[in-house]
Amino acid sequence: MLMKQQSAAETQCLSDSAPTITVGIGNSVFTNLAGTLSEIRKLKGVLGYILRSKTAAIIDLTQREVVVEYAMLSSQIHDCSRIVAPQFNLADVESSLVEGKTLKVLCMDIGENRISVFMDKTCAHAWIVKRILL
Amino acid sequence: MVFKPNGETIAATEGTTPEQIETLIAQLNSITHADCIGGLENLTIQDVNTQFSVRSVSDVYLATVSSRSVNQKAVESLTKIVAPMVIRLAFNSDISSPQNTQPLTDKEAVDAEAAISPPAEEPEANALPQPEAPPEPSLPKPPVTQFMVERIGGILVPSDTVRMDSEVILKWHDLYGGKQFTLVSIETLEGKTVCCKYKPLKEAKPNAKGVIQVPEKIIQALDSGVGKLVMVKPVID
Repeated sequence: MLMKQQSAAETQCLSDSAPTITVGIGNSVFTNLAGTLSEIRKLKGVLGYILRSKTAAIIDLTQREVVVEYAMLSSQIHDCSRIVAPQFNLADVESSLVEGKTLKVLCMDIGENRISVFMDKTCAHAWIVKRILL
Repeated sequence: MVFKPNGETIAATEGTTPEQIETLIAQLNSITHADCIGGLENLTIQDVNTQFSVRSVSDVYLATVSSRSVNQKAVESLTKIVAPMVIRLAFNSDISSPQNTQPLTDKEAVDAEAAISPPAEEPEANALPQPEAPPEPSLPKPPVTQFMVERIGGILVPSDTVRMDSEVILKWHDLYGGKQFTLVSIETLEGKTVCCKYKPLKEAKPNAKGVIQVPEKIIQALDSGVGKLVMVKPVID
């Protein structure tokens, strides 16, 4: 499922597999990240991703019923790493990875854009980090 | 540092402040939606030079801070295998409990297998302490014996019965003062358990020590295989 949100008030659900992304003028980072993530999404074991900026968001997850859960988890991980990192003298957080018994979630902050990639535990997240940071 | 989810700190390096631990625990507890990925087993936060990791080990958390420039395989071995194993040993002295055996990795299983490989050695290295005094009102804990799986088949072989060293069976009978038990519990290193009947091995082969003959059906139920290790103990009512 692909969800595109251009403002807090306006949320649309799109079902096509090749999404068109419209974002605010000048947010080229968001556009680039969206392109990169759509490539990453095709990798084996990647279940989907959430990309969020202040004005727009893309949610591309296979399982529609867990979207809310995943979005909440993603937000909690971002908040957790933001608070924990300075406590342990980590300067600029590059990535946060949370592993469960079945899946793992990779979270990254690129500027004002927040990324969460959901994947199988066997998936190589290090490669995804490198690909996003390219 | 090692700490419990309720805030109790078990171990910490010098310089770790209570504030750090409190913040960490509070933030870990704030991740309430981790059920959708099967719970929180590991959290890793990385910056350019450093990585901070929190790993769930049994009922406690192990938090480590390491440099990203060092050999990551060594760090992983320490934080994923060695330290968790030490923590488990410290907290679960009962080695027969599934909590202890289940998280073993394949590598650890191979190491364990290598450790008992000499067939002439006593295979009951993991037997629990046996009572020295005569039978007490309460029965002693069932002793756990480690065996290597050997497949047994044939028309006359019952599919629900394993065959094992008669000496071990005799010891069990002695331990329980002749109390009859008809079943044994077989547990793999991965934590799968099956209860079944048992019989003594027919002929005492010189290399039969430490071997349990298991029908194919039970091997499949255990998801085990020939040469794999299993823990066997009597089932006492």
